[in-house]
Amino acid sequence: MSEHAVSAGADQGPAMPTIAPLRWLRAFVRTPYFAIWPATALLFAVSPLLASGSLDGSALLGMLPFAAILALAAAGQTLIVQQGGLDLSVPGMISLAAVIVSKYPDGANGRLLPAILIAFAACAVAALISGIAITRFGITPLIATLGVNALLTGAVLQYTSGSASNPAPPALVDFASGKVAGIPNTVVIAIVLIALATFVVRRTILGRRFVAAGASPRAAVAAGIRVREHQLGTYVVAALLYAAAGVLLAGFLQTPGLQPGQQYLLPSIAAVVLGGTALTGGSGSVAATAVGALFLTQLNQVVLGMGAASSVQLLIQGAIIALGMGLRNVPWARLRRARVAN
Amino acid sequence: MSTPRAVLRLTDVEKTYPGVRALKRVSFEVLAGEVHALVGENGAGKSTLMAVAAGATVPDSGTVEIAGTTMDSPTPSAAAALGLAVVYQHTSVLDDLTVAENMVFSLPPEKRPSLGSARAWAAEQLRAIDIQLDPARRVGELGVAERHLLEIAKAVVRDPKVLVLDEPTESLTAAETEVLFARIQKIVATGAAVVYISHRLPEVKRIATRLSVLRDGEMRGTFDAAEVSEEQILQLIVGRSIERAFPDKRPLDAPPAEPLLTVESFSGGRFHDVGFSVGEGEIVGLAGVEGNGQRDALRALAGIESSRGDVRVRGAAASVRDPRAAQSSGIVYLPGDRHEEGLFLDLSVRENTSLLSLGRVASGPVVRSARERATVAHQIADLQIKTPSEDTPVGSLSGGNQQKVLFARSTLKQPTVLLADEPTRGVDAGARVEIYRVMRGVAAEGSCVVVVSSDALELQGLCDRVHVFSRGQIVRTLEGDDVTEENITGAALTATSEHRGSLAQQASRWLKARRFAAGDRAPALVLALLFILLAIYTTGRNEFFFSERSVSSMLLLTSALAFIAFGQLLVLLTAGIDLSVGPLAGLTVVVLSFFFGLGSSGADWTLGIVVVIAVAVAVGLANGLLVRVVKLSPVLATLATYIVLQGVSLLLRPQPEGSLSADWTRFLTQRVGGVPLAFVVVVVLALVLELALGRSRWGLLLRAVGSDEERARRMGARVGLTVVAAYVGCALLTLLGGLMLSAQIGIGDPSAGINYTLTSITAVVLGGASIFGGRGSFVGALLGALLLQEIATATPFLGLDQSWQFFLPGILILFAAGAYSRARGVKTSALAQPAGQ
Repeated sequence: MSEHAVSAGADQGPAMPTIAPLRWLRAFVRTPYFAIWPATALLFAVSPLLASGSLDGSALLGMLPFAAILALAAAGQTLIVQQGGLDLSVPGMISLAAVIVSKYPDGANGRLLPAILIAFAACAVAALISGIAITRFGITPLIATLGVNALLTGAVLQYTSGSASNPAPPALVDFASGKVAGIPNTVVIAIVLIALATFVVRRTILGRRFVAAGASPRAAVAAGIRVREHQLGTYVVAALLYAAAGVLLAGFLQTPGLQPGQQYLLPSIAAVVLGGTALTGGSGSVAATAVGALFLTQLNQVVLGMGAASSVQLLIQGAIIALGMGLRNVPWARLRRARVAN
Repeated sequence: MSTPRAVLRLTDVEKTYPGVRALKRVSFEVLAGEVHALVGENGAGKSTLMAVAAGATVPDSGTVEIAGTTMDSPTPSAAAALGLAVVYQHTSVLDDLTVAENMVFSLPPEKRPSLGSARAWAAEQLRAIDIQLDPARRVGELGVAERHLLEIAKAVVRDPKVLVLDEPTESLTAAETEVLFARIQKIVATGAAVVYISHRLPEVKRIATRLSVLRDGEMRGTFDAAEVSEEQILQLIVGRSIERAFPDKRPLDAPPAEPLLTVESFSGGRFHDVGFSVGEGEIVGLAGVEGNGQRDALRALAGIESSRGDVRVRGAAASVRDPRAAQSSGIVYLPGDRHEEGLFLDLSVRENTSLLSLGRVASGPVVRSARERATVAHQIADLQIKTPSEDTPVGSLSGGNQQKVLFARSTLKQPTVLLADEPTRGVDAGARVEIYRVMRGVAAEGSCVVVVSSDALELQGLCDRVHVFSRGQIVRTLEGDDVTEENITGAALTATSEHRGSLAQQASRWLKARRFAAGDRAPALVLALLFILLAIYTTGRNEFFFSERSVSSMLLLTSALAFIAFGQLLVLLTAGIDLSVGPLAGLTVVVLSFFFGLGSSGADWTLGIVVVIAVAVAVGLANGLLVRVVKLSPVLATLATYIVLQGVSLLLRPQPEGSLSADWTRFLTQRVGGVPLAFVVVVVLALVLELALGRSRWGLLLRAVGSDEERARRMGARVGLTVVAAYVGCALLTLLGGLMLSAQIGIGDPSAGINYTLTSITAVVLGGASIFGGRGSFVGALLGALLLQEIATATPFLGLDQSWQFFLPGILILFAAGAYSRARGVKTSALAQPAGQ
């Protein structure tokens, strides 16, 4: 989101004499992607009051890698949602990438790089199946990715023969738990990839066309945009983000098990929604989604820290999604106008 | 003129829209037994007048009297009840319903025949008015002409006293027009009246007893059709005063311009053998009555509709294969449907303006913000677009300013040829003048403009040359001083060319097979076949598969999934989706574990059943209300309930515990003749629901709402109630699935059932349901569930490892969904709807 400020700063538009950063901030506050920032700040502010120690360095360091991995998965989901889809293949993608990088190297660091490449390639191929099913055969995204998720789950079972005892190679484990200047590597990777995605979406020709294709496929076709190709490409890019999440997850968990991706489907959608990206497609914010992922992860942490059962965690998550989205749907502007009119 | 036999009388009707006085004290009277034609130009007020008569538009003043009764509070249903029926040009039929069902649905509820006899009833009605349509056909498969005939049939079955036909012959061939005229004569012979709205004067002269002329919202008079000539009518129709300022045209004595666009032997779906050329600096208009191919020709030039023929830009062959190809040839299209095809309403003015010219404001792949803002700001100033800022969403601007944004975008691209489709539709007078100035400016700067407009006066003021289309061909070309409203309208209205090609389809055996493949029964048949093949193959490999024990356990497992799939289908039919079914089934098991434990009594059981029913109803209501009242998308709403339900289950049973009584399990798993009783119930329920979906009132309602919410509402369906009821029904069916699940696992397991969400969707989609609503089959869903369960049971027997339990369903659903969407001719990709909608 920050490059937006830069862009506004560079422009001294003749029509608007207001100081640029201030103008940008004012515009940003009005977008649906704003609300998650103060909400997250508020959550962190009250965290120590609810669960002592939940803002401690060690607690944060334990929480952040999970937030980073969820943010990567949710970033992919955001891109799909921007194209008017919904990706149910997130669990299969993450799981497949995780088992490949833990099983293929067989503990040998030297085989890690090829393993990562294979993981990425496998996810990309799966995404091509979804994408072609959707763009060429007219299958709804929901159904196509549901089918592909089953294929991915099958592939995981096939590859592992149903048992998952392979630990990730030490180099990956070290990397996933390592730090750069005190910041966990997972977080660095997430920030870099999300910044890159944000930059491409907001600042490049490709990104503009991508947003237009999602906002109104019909209008995009009329404007000469290759909508199908953009959709197909989006599935592949999203798959690469899931694969990245899967690789990091394998390293972080050390022995990822069979279906480590299973618990990422709902949170990935929840993070998109909390971030403010509409399920109807078009505009969206990968950065806001990432903040949404941070919010969800910290929320879990706090609720656990309060000694509540995981059940309460779910109740609170569900309530926040329903409430958060319900509030967005209230026609505030109309209410305000009505009050003024009275 | 007034006689007691007037069946429709409008008196002093006045209607003003912001900026336009659409009807100026219009009085209009239709007598029983006559065909009364209503003629006038586009925008003369014909449609508004008929909307007032039909109760769809409330006039500012004036009265409407139908069959002697004055409508006090005008509504469409009040007008219909008094005996007025309108056949609109744009059909309002429901695609997923059959011809017979659409006809039944058009009647008021108390007059509807039972759905069991609907087909026979519809066949009889269609025979009576001599319309050849198969009542059993699904409307989505019908062609344009057939849909129109269905609209007429829908109106006629209501036995109206006044039948209004709006441009009824637009999509008909000459032969079909003759048949229509014969039908009209039959209808008026019974004493009913027909109001015939048309642009086609020769037709009007033939069919009408009397005719009335509207111009600029004013009634110009009513005449006996036999006593006026076409020329006289035309005189009355045209002649609006020019109140608009147009920029100067290209001087007539200017040297011949270099042709920029040359079109030869250009043909497409609705136009044939069109040829014209446009020179530098020229604005050329394509005119004609709506639907005569002029717009289609323009869109084909833009690459949006397919075409063949020779298109040249600056003498070089130009590809118009797709919009992108057209653009690289220098052809830029300005869409007429601003909201659907022109603008990205949620995106900013800036993003909309620069979209076609991003290369010019970018360095390499990166858009330079400052350069973009400067460029856009320049366009905003140049076109005097009134917007709070360039970051304002374009959807919040006024119509005129939205249109100017479209112009800003198109002119920024610096086209060689600008194709403008209805450039001033829905635009106020001030913005019109500026748009005319911009168009002339584009032409003057070394380009040329081709414009399609339904406003003949606009073409007169704007164009150097006008080609008039009729039924897909250019019938007249006007140049210089001949470019007048009168000539344009006259050429369009008096043309007698005929529509080429018949839209009627031959019922061949191949077509029947295709129709079957596209129908609701085909998936069930395919699934049944797959089921049997897999059973035979597996038994061949391992005879134990067919043992009583294995089969009965498979059927028992199927019943849980089938119940939940039925529930899912209910919601899917309304174009929704319920993700919460899995956790709800799990919660049912958890709740039961508190009441049906070891040593529980009959009283506990009763209470337990009451509690789980209450839970299911509450969950269904919550989902329904979140979708309808809070207006969350179904995916989001049921995702929230999904999470909450899972939380509640975990809260009640943090770990699996609370064994269920063996009596309860035995009760649920009892068999009749070797078959689990539960499975028998499932089969019976599938048949009952299938029958109800096809034949009962609620089934029709459900499909109508899922097919097209807005049209269903217009036909009197209570959409909100139907949808909420579907979610509650879904929860109750899921509850039944939960009961069966409890017998399978026998313990209060909080994570039980979660997989059923996706599996139920798989089963239902395999069974042929459309995720866009409106169609599906309970028998198909049952077979889908059965096949999925069979795969799960068969894989170990076949010695396949666990992964095949996922591969096979995955492959199945992809192939099934692909095949169904092909068979049904669903448009692929670009227009795929968002999942959440």
